[in-house]
Amino acid sequence: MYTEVRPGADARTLQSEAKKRKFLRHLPLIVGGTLLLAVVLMAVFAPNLTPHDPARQNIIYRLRPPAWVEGGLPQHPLGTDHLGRDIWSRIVHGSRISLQVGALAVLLGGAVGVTLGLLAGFFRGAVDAVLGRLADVQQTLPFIVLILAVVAALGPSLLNLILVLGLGSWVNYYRIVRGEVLAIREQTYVEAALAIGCSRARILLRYILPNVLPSIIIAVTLFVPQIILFEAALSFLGLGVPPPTPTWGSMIADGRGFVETAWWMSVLPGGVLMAAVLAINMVGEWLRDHLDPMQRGR
Amino acid sequence: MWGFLVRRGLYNVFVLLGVSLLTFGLIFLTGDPAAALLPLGTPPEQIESFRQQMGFDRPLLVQYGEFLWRAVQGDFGMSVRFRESAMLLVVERLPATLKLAGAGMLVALLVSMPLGVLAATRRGSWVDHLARFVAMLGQTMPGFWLAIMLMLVFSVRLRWLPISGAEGWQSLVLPALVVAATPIGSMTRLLRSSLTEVLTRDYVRTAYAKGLANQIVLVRHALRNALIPVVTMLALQVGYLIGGAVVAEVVFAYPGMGRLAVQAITNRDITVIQSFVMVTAALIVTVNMFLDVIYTLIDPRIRYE
Repeated sequence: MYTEVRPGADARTLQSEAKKRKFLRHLPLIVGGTLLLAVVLMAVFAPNLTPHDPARQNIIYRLRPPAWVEGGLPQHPLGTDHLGRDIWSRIVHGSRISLQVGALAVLLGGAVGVTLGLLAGFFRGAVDAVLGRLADVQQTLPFIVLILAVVAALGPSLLNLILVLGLGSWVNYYRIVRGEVLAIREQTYVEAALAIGCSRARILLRYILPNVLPSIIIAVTLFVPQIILFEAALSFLGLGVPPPTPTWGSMIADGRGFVETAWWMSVLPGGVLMAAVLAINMVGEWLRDHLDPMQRGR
Repeated sequence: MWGFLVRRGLYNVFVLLGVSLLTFGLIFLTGDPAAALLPLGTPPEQIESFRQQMGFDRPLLVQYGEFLWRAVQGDFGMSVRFRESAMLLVVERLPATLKLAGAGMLVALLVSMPLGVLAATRRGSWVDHLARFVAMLGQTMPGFWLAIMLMLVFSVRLRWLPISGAEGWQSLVLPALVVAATPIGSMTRLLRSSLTEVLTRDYVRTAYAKGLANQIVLVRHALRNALIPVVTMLALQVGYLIGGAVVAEVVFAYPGMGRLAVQAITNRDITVIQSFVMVTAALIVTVNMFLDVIYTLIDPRIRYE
């Protein structure tokens, strides 16, 4: 890469150009990171940020628009829903469910998938064959169909949701980790470690795992937003965390019957959901660009 | 080629067997299959007699054998709610879902192909930025929310398209857009990156050096090679199409099998869900076999031995 030299360009303008370019490269991290931080803070300090109990109904003030629209009330900045519940309070509390499910499900799925991937890639043989077939069978079904079927049998609850979304997503990590391990175990440094008599466990944990870590981090950042979207979709279909717990998906579902009269009921939680997912994706893209140079600019 | 297809077919039978084991296991996940199949609040004596009638007290392997034997004949039992064959209920609604998924795929191709090509040939231009934006949007947009937003704009405000149902092509437009949203994003992104890479290859430079016209190089030399990963992706997209169809069908009250499945979950109608899972798996396996054949057509280097 060279920088175009224009007449009058001196070292200082070139330097500022370079700075600008550097800033642009980190822009996704800055924007995404800020947004993500805001959502996390929202979830952590939810009770302090909300003037109302998210489940408290008040029929007198039902279907009030946001404060900036005519007919809005200052005590309900984002309006109220069909039962007179405060939309702002529900959005803030809803972030807890989304982040909890996203984080815990990915931790669970990641732990299972990474462990099995390490074992299958390193030891090959029967374990690898069986897990591979299992992964094939599971991936024949769309994730949402699998989740629907299992939730149908188990019944909806926060714990079931985390278990199903977590255990159901092991394949994603398994495939990535196994593939990487297959390549890494052939490297000379692994051979050297074997030759000096390192135990297999030590080789797996000290030599192979650190080298797979960047891929795992990338997979996680790409999969957390997916899980959050799945959770929202399930809640929207009435199969997520049961009421009265507020979730973004169920808020949008509530608003569905009122699109004509009360747009804020579905538009606002949906906007926040999208912003949260976008934020994590942006951080993920930045990480991918910086952890994996091969993928840059794709 | 034929040998490959036969082997692939056998493997798919194995995969479907695996899925059948999963579907069979569904009713045992709750711990008590008899209770799972009966409506909530059924008296215990009735559950007990149902258990014996259905044979849930027999060894699991015997039960699975019988389940499989009946499944092969398309018999998954009766729907508790509709008092009809569960499989028949799903199959009746399959054409509507296929129509929706097909329309969604068509929309996705019509948008992502030109967008991906333009983005790759004009890196850094506004089309390129648009393509990246669309790809990002497809990745982040919750399908059910997009559905409601489309409804709000086109059905409620502008009154151009019907809000629900399945009459005429108009009622297919909005659901198809919802189904297409995720595939549009991922396919645009993939085509953009694979075409960008192919365009730097030596054979493309040679083609230009020979003095071939831009379009010819693009279509014959570059695009044909760039499309290979896109076809692979297409196979994965089938799952997204079905998943998207479930959501779109529910929001737009479209009478497909996805909506039936969601209703079945609310009604605890497990046999319908079992049938839905099997039909979906069979559908995806079939499409994947079909795509394997398409591969050989677009890329003569791929031969199945």
